[in-house]
Amino acid sequence: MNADASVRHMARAPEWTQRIGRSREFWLLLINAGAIILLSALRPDTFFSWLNFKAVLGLMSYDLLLALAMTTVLIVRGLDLSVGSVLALTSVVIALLLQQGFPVFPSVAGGFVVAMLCGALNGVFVAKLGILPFLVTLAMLSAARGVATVLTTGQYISFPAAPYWFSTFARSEIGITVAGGYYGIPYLLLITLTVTVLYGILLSRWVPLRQLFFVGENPEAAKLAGLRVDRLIISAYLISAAFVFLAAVLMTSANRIGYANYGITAELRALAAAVIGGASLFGGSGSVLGTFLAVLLLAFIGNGFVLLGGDPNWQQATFGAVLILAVALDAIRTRRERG
Amino acid sequence: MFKRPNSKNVSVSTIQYLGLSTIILAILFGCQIVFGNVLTEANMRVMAMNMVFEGIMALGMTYVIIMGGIDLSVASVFAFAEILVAKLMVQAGLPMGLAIPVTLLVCATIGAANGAMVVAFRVHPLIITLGMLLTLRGVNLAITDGRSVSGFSDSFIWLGQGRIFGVPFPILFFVAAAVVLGVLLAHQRYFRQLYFIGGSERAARFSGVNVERVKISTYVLSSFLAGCAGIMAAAAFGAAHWGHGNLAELRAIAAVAIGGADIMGGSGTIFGTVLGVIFLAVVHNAFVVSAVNPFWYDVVNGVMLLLAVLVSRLIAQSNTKKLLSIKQSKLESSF
Amino acid sequence: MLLKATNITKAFHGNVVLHGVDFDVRPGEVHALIGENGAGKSTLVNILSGNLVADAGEVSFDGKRVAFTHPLDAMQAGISVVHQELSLVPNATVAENIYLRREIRTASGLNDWSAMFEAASGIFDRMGVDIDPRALVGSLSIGMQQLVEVAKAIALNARLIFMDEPTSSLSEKEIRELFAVVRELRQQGMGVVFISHKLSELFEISDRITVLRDGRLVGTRDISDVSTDDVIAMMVGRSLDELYPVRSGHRGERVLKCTGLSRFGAVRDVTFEVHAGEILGVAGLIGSGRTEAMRALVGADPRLSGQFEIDGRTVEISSPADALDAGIVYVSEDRKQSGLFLSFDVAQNVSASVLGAEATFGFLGKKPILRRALDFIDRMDIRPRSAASRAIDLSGGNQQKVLLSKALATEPRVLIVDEPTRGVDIGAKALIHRRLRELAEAGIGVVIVSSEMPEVLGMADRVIVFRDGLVTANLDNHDGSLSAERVLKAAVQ
Repeated sequence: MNADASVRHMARAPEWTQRIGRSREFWLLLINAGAIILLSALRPDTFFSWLNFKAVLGLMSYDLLLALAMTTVLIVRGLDLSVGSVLALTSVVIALLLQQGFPVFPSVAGGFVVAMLCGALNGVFVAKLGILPFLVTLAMLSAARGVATVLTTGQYISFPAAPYWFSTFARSEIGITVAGGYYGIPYLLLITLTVTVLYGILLSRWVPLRQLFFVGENPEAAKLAGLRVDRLIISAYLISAAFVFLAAVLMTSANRIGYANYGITAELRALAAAVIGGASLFGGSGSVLGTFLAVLLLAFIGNGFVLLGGDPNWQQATFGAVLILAVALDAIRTRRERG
Repeated sequence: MFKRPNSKNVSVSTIQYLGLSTIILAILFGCQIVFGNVLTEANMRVMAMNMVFEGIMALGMTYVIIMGGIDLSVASVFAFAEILVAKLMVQAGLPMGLAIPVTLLVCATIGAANGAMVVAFRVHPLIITLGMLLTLRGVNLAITDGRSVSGFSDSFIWLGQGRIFGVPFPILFFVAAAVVLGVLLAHQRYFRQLYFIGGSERAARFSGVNVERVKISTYVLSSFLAGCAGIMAAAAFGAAHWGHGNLAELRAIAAVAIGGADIMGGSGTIFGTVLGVIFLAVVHNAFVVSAVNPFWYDVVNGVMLLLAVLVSRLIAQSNTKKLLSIKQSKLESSF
Repeated sequence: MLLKATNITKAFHGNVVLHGVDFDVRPGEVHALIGENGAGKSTLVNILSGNLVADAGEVSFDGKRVAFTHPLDAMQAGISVVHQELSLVPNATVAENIYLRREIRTASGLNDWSAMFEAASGIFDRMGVDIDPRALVGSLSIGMQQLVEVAKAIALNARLIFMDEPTSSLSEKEIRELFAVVRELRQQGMGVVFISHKLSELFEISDRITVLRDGRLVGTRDISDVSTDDVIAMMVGRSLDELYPVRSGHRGERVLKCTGLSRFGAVRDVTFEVHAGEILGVAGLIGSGRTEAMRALVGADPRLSGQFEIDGRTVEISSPADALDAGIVYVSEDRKQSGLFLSFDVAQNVSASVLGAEATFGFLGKKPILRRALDFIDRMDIRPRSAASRAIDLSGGNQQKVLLSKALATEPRVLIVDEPTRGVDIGAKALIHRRLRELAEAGIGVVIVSSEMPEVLGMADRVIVFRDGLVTANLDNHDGSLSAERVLKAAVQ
């Protein structure tokens, strides 16, 4: 059998139905489609408006970025509880620098340095000192939030003197006219989605990022296979910090203030979304598409509460319920697979 | 000859407890000398009340962590108990003597659900209790619409603010609970099993320990204690609010870890946790009395948590090295 | 008879590991159980202690027929096992570990520590050792922990104790102490089954010896009737029933030279060479330092010293990645724990070390990866013939082939394979042996670490033997005439 023939043979491998059935993304896509169909059937006028979509997608942007950060560290069998508080710290640093009259670029760069420093500390403590990621990032959660509060004494940090474009760019929109209709896409959304798509491609195809999966699936085997495990783990925490940094820049710009209480409990939502999207605390799995679909699903559920006149406060509870449901379904499935 | 471990070989926990106690006393007396007004009755009361609810949750958390689990949901159970007991009394008009047991029963049921799911789904308890945390917090927000519930009777308020010999009731509760739970954990066979499960679940099963039952009952205890704390907190604050106790789960975990428990399970004591709680209270108080920016508090907490973990990590490493050095000396003597 | 087991038979997945074995223990005797790795000793012990259920056979204990289904049953009947991996909790006291779930309690229902300490002291007195029942188990040496396990067995009123390789991590002094305890127990009429590889120890302590080979009973003898050589002969037998690939016998250039390799607490001053065209066998008992040495060589674990030359050039190795760059690849003995990426598919596993090889700008091409996988599926005859099956769903033999493929994909100069055919069916075994010989013929340095004597003798052109962290012999086998006795002698004496 030559290789090409078997490549074709592979394409129609008998187990492809099974493999789709096992694919988390497939089910999430179905459920998302179901949610869209349900909502558009119940509220055809309000749900299917660009304004509504924009609101749904805009609200989920920050959660999506933080969930991608969490997905990355979960892949290497890590955990990053500090995403929310590093977000706050980065935002505060950027805002303070702007307030002091620094130009945009150095201010944002300052925020970047701080975020990376937090990520590097997390990574080094986990990879080199072998301390549980849970404890390392819990300490970072406390410390970063503390520093942010110390720097601001809990006040909002506004930066009226900053260039106009910076304090508006996350909110401003690019207009597109399609078939006579005008669609404004906020930069916030555009940037988030672009980054998500790019990262999705990189994570599935780019070798250094592919190696993260091997490290998480079996660190010992990865080491023997010649992967630089410590370096890769630290990189994962740095990537996580980079996503947090991006979220902080966008949030600071969109809200026009830096604030030490940004992102409180965001780490829990990010973790929930990543796990629903297929990541596991035991490493080796997780995908950008899955995480994206999970965040989207949670956003639609929230939107549904609003549109159907339900108490929007209940949407918080659905986060947890969906997480437990996802975990329960997983348990049932693996039990059935094992027979 | 096999020798008894000599007295120089002080156990890890003794070193940690001594170190922690020294730091606590140093901060207390240091602040007293520099700033004054620390060792007064009023300040001690404030200091204790600041930490007491997290402290009660930390007691339950100690049990859970020794068993090798974790319970992130305590903070939401805490707020839920506040709200439930308030609603039962203020809105449903139940008498206090009925509202409190009902609330505690519901909290215990939540714990049972946590435990049952951990056992049944075989997922990391972090995920299960995170799901519970998010769900309950949402429920708390939804059933109160984000508003506080108040209007308690004086006798209920006493549970949070009343004093016996000048000591507020919640503090007495904490002390009593710590003593009882400490004694049980140290001397009662059912609870001793936690160490065996946390040390090696397989070995525990091998020795006939009913791992499932112990796990579920420990999560029940954790939620029950969070419920007790919530009821007293409602009385102490005079109102129930969904935002109360936010991040308390992390502070409770930090107290347990600073108190020397291994987050992977198998070690830890109530005494250590109490020291951890006192440490957090004293540090917080130091910021208050020194009029230094009190927001440094969180930074110190984070650093202390890391330090505590690093210390136990280093001790564990030196132990492994000691074991290997036996073989090494054998190797060297073989030439 | 204290224990009498007849015709014990056990198979795993159709693979018979015990063929109608008879075994008995008298009260007041120390009975040695010996056999090569995989001879069936642990299976037998597991059956007699209730950890496994036999497919056929009868066991009677103290004259009564017994059928244990759980270790607890056996413990209650009076049979305990002191395992190699201790089942004690380090953060509890010695006394509590001894009395877990049978705690002595006061009237208030709390544990009566002083009573337990006293009772534990009583047991230690009986054993003639001085261990503080109040000490935390974690603060004791491994040797003392082992004695605590023995005490636990005594507290359970055990009349028969199995000791599984109890001396492997003990110092010489501790071994003396343990033997004194064992003699004391024998004096008191208990039966002790002592499983060990160290013949000198067995001759010192035991009254009778039973030898197992390939799941069959070779014989039970009084220790006074046999010599060390007799026992070794019983262990190896004469059967070399498997066929190994023909060796060409030519010896090429030196590929790898390892000088003075030492690792803290594991191996000391190991020196060897690997030549092109020949296979180097690394023999020795489990725990003799073979694996530890190879892992230290490739930088997977820290080492104290060691210089390496590949094709005459000195190479620096501080991590497996460096080793791969230098052309040395190590295949782990434990394919599940440290070999495969179990929930990944075959293609990903095969390409794990060479992800970047055919990438353009660092981007993976799916096709080259798939093609490499299919190439190895053909070469190694991996079944099912699908690059998309997950490693966890494959049989042991096919998993092992995937593991080897992963290593071969790096196109190494030196291939170190640890237990290349452990838990692998006969067909896969033959294929793996064939491929390894072909690699050697192709000029690659091949090192086979193995516990299976026939494999070492059948495959290797030269054999180095490890004992207690040292290389004790470097034996020639170019014509395949090396005897198992010589290897075993170097490994056990």
